[in-house]
Amino acid sequence: MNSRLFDFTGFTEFYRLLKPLSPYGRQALQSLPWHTRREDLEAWYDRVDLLLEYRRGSRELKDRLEYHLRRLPEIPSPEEEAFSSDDLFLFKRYLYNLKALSDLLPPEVRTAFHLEFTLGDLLSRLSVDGSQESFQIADAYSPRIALLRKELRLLDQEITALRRRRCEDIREQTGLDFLMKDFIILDPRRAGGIPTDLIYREPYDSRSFILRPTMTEEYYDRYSRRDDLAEEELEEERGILKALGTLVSEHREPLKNCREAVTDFEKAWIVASAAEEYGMVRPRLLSPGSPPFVARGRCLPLELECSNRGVDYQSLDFSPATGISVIRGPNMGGKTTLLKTLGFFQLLSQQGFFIPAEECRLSLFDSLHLVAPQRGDTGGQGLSGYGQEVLSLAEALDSPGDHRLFLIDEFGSTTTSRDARALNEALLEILAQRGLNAFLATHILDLCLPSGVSVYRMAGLRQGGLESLSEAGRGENLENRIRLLNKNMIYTPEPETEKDRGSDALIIADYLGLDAELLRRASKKMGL
Amino acid sequence: MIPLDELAGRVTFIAGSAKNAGKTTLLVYLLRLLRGSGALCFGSAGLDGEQTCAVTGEEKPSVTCLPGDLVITSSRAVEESRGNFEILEVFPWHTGMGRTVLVRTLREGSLELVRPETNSRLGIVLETARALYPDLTVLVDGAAGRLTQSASVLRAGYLYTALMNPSNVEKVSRRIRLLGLLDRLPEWRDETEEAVMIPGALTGKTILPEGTEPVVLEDHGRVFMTCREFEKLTASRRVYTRRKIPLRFCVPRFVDLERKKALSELKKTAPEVTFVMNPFEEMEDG
Repeated sequence: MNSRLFDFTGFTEFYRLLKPLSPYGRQALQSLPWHTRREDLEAWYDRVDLLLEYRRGSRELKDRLEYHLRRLPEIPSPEEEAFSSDDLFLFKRYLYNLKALSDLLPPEVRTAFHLEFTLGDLLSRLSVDGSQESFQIADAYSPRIALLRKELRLLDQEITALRRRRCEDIREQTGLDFLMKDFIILDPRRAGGIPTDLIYREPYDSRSFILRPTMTEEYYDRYSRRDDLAEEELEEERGILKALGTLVSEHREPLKNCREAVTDFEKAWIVASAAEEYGMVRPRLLSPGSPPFVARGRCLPLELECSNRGVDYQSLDFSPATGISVIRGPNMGGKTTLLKTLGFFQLLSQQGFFIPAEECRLSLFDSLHLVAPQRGDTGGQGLSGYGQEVLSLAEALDSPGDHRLFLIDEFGSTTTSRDARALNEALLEILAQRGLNAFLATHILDLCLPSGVSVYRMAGLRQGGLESLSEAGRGENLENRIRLLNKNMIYTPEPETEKDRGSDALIIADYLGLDAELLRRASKKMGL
Repeated sequence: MIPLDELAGRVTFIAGSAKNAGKTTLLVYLLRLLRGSGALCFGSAGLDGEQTCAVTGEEKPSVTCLPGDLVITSSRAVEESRGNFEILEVFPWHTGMGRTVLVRTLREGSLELVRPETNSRLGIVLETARALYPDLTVLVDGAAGRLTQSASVLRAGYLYTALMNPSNVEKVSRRIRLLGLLDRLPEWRDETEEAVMIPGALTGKTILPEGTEPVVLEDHGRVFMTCREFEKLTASRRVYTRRKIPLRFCVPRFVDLERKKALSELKKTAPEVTFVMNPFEEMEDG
């Protein structure tokens, strides 16, 4: 399945609405599964249901859980051979928040997502400094390092005291205060009078000297000793880091499992969040090849677009009788929208999401295919739009799997009407013969249909809609006229009857402002 | 005398007229003055803490961290330091010297200040530090001659160190004058009036549409004009900024110049600017 399908159905836009909280959520969204087995998907949905129930409980618990999810960092791979302090910080923060997350979950959720916390010993070892989420190589890791640091602190105090005393001496004797400064710039007259046993002096520029305090031998001895001890401390720290790194490596399997569990959990959390936010329900899964059932279904990206445009969105009620449906109807009547909506629901479900509907029943497919005119750039392959459609169809028919769903939008519309009719009829026969599922939108009337194919027609303009349009649309700009058109359309597919053979094409063309003389001639040709 | 209340509880970038203008030296001095008056954090907008300047070979002051100091640097710089640090935060991106980290100093040691590689990342780090310590005083050692990094952090101001000698005194004075003029730009608040918005850089080559509508800059860190060019613009149009980056004060560093006279000239050239004498100078003529 390619990105065209995701763009066509609006799934790409829906995907952008999702809000992962941690790097694991982002990874989960980058590798959404394609569920083809009913039992697997049902098991997944069961786990999502558990989370939904949990979320409906305490709001405070939910917020705290999200807080800890957000604070989970990306950890280095436990397969690495060595870890630095910042790596260990990340492991510690990860474990701390993972434990907190696990503690917030009821046992059944913990078990369902394998989030029982089993890395307590590792967390403890990383937390000997007593802090929760920061990290340092604490004294508690090694008596030797504690001793070294004690000596270093004493030396620091001595060095500071020696420097202070020296600066006081210098100030008493020269009036120059080096306590806060490492150097002073002085004019030559004053600089010349400063004893050089206290101050080191050299030219700064043509008008001044730069003076620095000299320190005592005692000071430099302490400094040197401090450097030596600091070197030993560094060695000791490296040893501690190595030991902690080994400990992390010993826990590589549980860390790896944890990571998978967290990714899985956050994926379910995202699904549950979306379900709450967008009013999505768990679909009922049907046996392979069964046609779908949708009650008050909403294609979220389209609903959002309508809202942005100030247009009412009409939800979908549709329950085709067979696995293959032909969809006909007036221009701008919603045929393509119907395909998008059904494709959107299928993508949602098979990638583990619930469906934005009052009720939805559907079956699972090995793959989903789109055959539709490609708008805009055809990818530089030198093919026409029709060529692209043919390629897409060829690939789709050749793809593996016994259960496939095809979304076919006006196939062959750029060829002659005779070719288009022949191609569509043949395609429907092949699809039926192979037991594949399809929704095929077309303008072609009087298609010769094989058995097992139902025909539906988009309802079109409301009763009195034409009059309403003509009246209200007079003098309005194009955007408003489109809005009125939407308002007067019924976007519901109904089983086609004999009398549904008229065309609103001319009506709509007239409404949108096509040349009156042209329309008159067209009407005459149609015998209207 | 350094007005410390201009710095306390705020984010301040230390920008300079050129490399070796004295930014790091001033940073170290300011840290000494500010310690003890609240949480203190510092970092760099360029690699610093080196023993010698790669350009001039002159010895550069190292940045010594004292217990309690919060420092923005890289993980490798922390590991190589002789000090002792607690890691408070590790950021997910890498510099050439390991990940960016925010650390608290536990025991004194000198440390290389390695900056996050982009201005926006520096902004994230500073916001994280301020979330931990709301009244934090932050000093950032800026890269020479660049103000743009200031703009990435909201509510930040800057101070300017200017290295002035006989060959550049005129040029640097004009530059400081320009900074003073930019500092006085009013903030754009009126969303209803028609204006010419300049989201990117404003240079001497920017072509503005004819008319009298005011010109609105995103912030003055994106003005790359000479003082003369800017004065010409403000003479013909009203100029505003969407975001002010206050110039807290300017510290001139005079080399081979008579201080009193040089300062007096500077104040005449840039009367809007607050000047603070170089705290390391104790000159009779200054």
